[in-house]
Amino acid sequence: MPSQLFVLLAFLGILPSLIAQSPAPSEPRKPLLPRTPAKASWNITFQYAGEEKPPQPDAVPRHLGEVPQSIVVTKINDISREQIQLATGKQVERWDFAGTQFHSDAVGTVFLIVPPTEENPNPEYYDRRRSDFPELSWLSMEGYRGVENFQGRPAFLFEAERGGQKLRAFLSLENQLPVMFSDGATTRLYTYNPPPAGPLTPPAAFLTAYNQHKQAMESLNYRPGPP
Amino acid sequence: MGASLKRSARASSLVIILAFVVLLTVLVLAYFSYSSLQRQISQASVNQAAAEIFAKGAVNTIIGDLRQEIVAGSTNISTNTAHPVYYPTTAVTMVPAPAGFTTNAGLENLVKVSRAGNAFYSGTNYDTATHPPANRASTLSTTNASQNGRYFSLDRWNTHLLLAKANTNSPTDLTPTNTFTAPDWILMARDGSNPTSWNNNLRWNTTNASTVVGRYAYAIYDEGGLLDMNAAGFPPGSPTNLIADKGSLATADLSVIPGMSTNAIAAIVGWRDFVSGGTSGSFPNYTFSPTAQTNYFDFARTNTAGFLRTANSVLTSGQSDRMFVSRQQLIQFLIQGVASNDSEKAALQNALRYLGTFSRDLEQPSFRPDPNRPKNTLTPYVGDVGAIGNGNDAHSADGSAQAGINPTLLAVCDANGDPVFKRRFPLSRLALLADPSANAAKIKEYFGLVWDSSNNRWVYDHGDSTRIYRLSEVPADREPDFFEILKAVIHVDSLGKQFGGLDNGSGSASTPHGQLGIGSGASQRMYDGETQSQIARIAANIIDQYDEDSYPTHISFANRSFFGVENLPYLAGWQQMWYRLRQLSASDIDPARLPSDSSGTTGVVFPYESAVMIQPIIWNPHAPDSRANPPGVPTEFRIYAGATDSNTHGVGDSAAQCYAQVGRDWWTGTTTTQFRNTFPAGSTYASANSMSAVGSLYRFPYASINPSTSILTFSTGAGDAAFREPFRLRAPDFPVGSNASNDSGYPAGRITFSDPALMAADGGSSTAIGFYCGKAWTGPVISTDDTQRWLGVGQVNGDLKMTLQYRKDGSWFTYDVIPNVFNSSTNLSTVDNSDTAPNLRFFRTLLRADPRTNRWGLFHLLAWPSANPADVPAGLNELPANGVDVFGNNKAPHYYLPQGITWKPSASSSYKAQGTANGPAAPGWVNPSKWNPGDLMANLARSPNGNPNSGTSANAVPGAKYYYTDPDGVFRRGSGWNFFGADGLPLYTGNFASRPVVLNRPFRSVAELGYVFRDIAWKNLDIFSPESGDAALLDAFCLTELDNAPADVTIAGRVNLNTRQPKVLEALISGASKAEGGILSPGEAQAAASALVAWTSDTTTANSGVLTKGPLRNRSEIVGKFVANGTFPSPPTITGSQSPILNPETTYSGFASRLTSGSIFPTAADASIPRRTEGVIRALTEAGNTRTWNLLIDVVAQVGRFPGHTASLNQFVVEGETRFWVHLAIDRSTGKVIAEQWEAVSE
Repeated sequence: MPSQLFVLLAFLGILPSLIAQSPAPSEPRKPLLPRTPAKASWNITFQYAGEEKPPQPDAVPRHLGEVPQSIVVTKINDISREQIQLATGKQVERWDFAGTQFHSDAVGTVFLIVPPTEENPNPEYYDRRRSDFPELSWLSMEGYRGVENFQGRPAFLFEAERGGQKLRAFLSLENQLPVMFSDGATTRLYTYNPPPAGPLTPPAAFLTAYNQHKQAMESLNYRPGPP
Repeated sequence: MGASLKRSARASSLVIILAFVVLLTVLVLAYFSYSSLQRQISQASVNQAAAEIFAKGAVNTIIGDLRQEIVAGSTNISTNTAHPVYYPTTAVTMVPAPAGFTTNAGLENLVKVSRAGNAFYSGTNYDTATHPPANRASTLSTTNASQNGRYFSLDRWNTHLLLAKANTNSPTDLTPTNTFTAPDWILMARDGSNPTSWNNNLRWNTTNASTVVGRYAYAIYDEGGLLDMNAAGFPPGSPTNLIADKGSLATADLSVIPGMSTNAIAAIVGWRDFVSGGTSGSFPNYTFSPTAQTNYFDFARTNTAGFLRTANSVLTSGQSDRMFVSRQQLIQFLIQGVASNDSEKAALQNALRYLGTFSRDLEQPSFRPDPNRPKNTLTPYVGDVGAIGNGNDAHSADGSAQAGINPTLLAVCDANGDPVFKRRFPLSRLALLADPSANAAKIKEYFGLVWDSSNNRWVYDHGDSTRIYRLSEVPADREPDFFEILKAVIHVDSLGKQFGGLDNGSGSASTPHGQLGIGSGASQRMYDGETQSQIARIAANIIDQYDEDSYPTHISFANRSFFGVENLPYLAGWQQMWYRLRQLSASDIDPARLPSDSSGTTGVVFPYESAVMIQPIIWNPHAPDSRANPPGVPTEFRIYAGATDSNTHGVGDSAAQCYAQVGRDWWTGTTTTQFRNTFPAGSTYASANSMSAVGSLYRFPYASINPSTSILTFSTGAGDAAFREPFRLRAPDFPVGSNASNDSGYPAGRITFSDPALMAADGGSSTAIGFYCGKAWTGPVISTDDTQRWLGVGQVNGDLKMTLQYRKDGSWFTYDVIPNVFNSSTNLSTVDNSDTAPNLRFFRTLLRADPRTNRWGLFHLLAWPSANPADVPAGLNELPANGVDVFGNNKAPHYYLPQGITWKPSASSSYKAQGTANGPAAPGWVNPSKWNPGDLMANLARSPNGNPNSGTSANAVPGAKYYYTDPDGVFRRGSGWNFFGADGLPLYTGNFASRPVVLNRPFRSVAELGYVFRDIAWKNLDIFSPESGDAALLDAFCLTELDNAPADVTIAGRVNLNTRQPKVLEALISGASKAEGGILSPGEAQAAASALVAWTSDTTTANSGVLTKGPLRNRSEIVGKFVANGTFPSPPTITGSQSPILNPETTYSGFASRLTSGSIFPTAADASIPRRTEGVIRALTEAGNTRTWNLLIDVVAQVGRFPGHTASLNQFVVEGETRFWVHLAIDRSTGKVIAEQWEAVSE
């Protein structure tokens, strides 16, 4: 019996080290926000503060307008597609051709998303070639708060404050990809799909807009020869 | 009886014998007499033949002497030793040197006479050491009788009537004016020498080489300086409008020639142009119907025979056109055929010294750019790199690039040594473009253009789609095309004036953003600096001056589109208008959440819901079309907007979404990089306005800018709807009759607003149209608190592209584009303030310097609209600076932007704008006070008289505050530089007489190229100012094809512009058009002609050793020539400009300056408005010649000898004599004889 007790005590003694050797890390690795594979797909689901039925029976739910309810992001290398389901029930798309971006509206018109300049910022434009999750550009180790459970699973928690708003995000312990981001007013939930099997084929309207723009861009490099 | 009979028989026999003897003697004598006569006749014939041969030798000697003179007075500028090109060492040697006489009245035609002790040419202008001049004449006058009594009297020297007669009233006495001295004899020895004094070796000797075998004398006349009667003159009584446009020697007014009667003119024209002139009647009493008169002028302008031959192809009444084949025929025609009495004979004899029968020129350009001319050595701003943009893409530090682009035309030769540029380009070829299909091959050959029917445009590609070849690069199997010629002859250092974009509010030259054309401004500079692009635009503009319709020609070159300028409305600019739709109230938002005012009170001032509309400003800056029912004039127009990618300098016509925003978010206080038009959550207002949640705040829906749907339409009509003054498309059917509207598929392009102050200022309409850019909440500013102040300024997030189209046959075609409607965050409007109209709210406005070009992009200012022209009484006056700009400073420029009027300069206005004193808008600009975009527009139209910069506005010419240098540093003046009052200034309201004109008809003179817009603000191709970079166009182009060109480019019917006969020039000028000023008065024509003679005869006035006047070396020099770099006494301070800055009035010199000096035209407008003044240039150019010497050599040659006993020169025994009038044309550039016409003189 004492020997059995000794063995038990010995097991308890080494238990912490066994726990430390498990696949779940205690600190996020760098980079904090790794790139998704070259072929990847994920869903983003949006929740808005005040969206739920107010407790007062005569109160009107918050009007959201044409904000996204869910987005399916699919990317192959530098080309990506966002299939956006709006809160109004309409569907639009957004395509990124290696930095040249277009989006459609509810009636199918395709618009160029003008790249920002120092004088002319455009928050609608974000460059997926730099990050798959530009909304999380604020992440830093200063905001790391440890591992906490999100939806019953442990995850890295990050927090920050920007413009009076509290930002909060959870990253997966396994691959450090985001699983949730909230800015206080909007909450994004991320789930990941199998990588796309085939090529991404833009709709005709996007392809036309892209080709016209590409042609115009290329014309900039075409100028009269030396006189 | 028998004896007596015998005696009788013997006597009879004796008588018979004697009779026979007598008969025989008679026969013998008769035989000898006959033989002697035959011998004499034979000898005379031999002597005559010998004299003729001798005379021909003499003439050849004279021709040799003339060619020697050319070489001695020239520099060979050809690199091909087999094909020299002689360029005058000074202007003086451009013409034959007068020799053997003193210039005097009555001797205007005389060039040289054989005179003892007088060299054929002399002086330091000639290289007499290498090429010694002939000095052949002896001291024996031709008026001295020979040993056998032969002499040449003074009147015989004037049988050609090229000298003024001493007795002008006598029909029989031809003695010349007493200032004429008869030529001296030139003795010709057997060995070819020309002894000038007596020695015994001159006596006849069968073997002595020094024996004199003959003598000759000559007088040489400038027949090229006379009116060639095979071309000059038109039917008497022709309407002035047919004459006024000139265009050939046929439009010369013979009635100004002393002694010419109407009958004589009718006889000449009727006889000469019997078919072509539609002559009626019989010699000498011809008449001409109005139709015949019209046909005559058409014939003259389109004569492909070049007046070398008769041009009729059919006979009329068995008769043909005719020509004068000799001077004697002309004399006989007038004196014996036309004159009906002695008085008329005498008069016509007097007229004959202005008339000739022979003139030749080469329809081949010979322009040589002055090798010492200023050149652009600055690095251009191309491709976003380089220094401040003042250079162009043709720069080189050593000038080698410019020398290659603008070569000496005759020095660029093919393998055969012939000039690549073989003939002047006939402007008549422009007619080919009317039928692209039928004329495809010729259009490709002459223009390098191919019609692209799917895009309704021409594509230029003549071997290299990215370039226009230099002359030296033109392939051997063709001649240079239209574009290549323009490139070769327009002074490249005057092209490609770049946008400087130096305003960043602090005068810094390094951060351009103030006057943006495309994106950051870099691309606009790049486009501006492309010299070939400017050439392409000029080409398109020439085409559209020529064609009848008003559909702009579209040329695609090097991936650029160039649209010719027509008499149509253009995009003059745009204004960013902020319309208050309504003021919010407590039912919309919670007053408790309003920001506090300066006293800390909240909830007292509600913001406005405002909408932003970008509204184009439309202006047709041309004078109204003078035609009654002009064909092919579009009247329906539309403007569409698309989005540009501002990060890459403005490309594409993409659909995009934009939004309006104020300077800073009200509630969050965030910066402009983060905010949107927001409002606290939970508002029913947000739902009603389809706003979307962004975080905790809301935004208005984005505005859609879609080139497929964002369309405004308008049409042109009568009154204001003609858009002869600038109007902003601000409301439906504004201006009245324009049908201005948003397209039916673009409902967002129309709003209804409630803004009493703005409505009152802007015409009373509560409905606005424009390119809708979204809504935002705006002020009013109620305190100096930062949070609220930011609501006073607004912007639109995205840049736009604005495209103007006309409608033809149901389709829309682009003809004007603003590539970048610049809406960056710094391009703010003052959209709200305490609302005391009109001086507190101001809207961002961008204007082109000239609505016809995008060069330099658009200049910006803040302006308040006004429907009242009186708001701008004397210039664009600054309004009180009560508002604040984004920085909180009272510095914003505050101007009225009126409707329907242009801005005119003011002598006293003081302006404020972003920038500082001497803060140039572009390198080369001078601003004595502060630069001001509005005033800039007015002043671009002119330039300084005298020193442009004395440092302060008070010392500057009233209103003349802005000038600029070309890339070579020369202050070339605008078309209105010689303004007087409003005359010459196109920007004065309603000043149509000074506005540009589109001819919409074939050119009638090469100098009508002066009507063509040069693609730089308020400048046409310049034939008005001596510093012109375009003067060589007058040499490079002609009106009509020649039948035998290019193998033979000889043409007749030209007048030596260096003639000393003012009356000849007066005939060319008389009746010339002054456009709206009518035609030149006789006094003006006379003054202009005399001025030109005085100019070309001045061989002493010089600057830095270079003649400022003197003979013209090229047709172009009638406008001007480079003399020497001339700087200003107090050079202006100009950042980024070529140094030194050159004063055009001293750097260049030209006869054109005499026309603007005020001494020719008593009416100021005639000297101020280019198209009026240029009437003289138009008249002279087409009929003018400078290159070819057309001479009449009057040579008398005698063969004979000095017998053995003689002892002096006057004992020459004449054995044979002949006289010739040799009409000779020599090319001054090559020394080649172009044509000779020998006329044996019978007396």
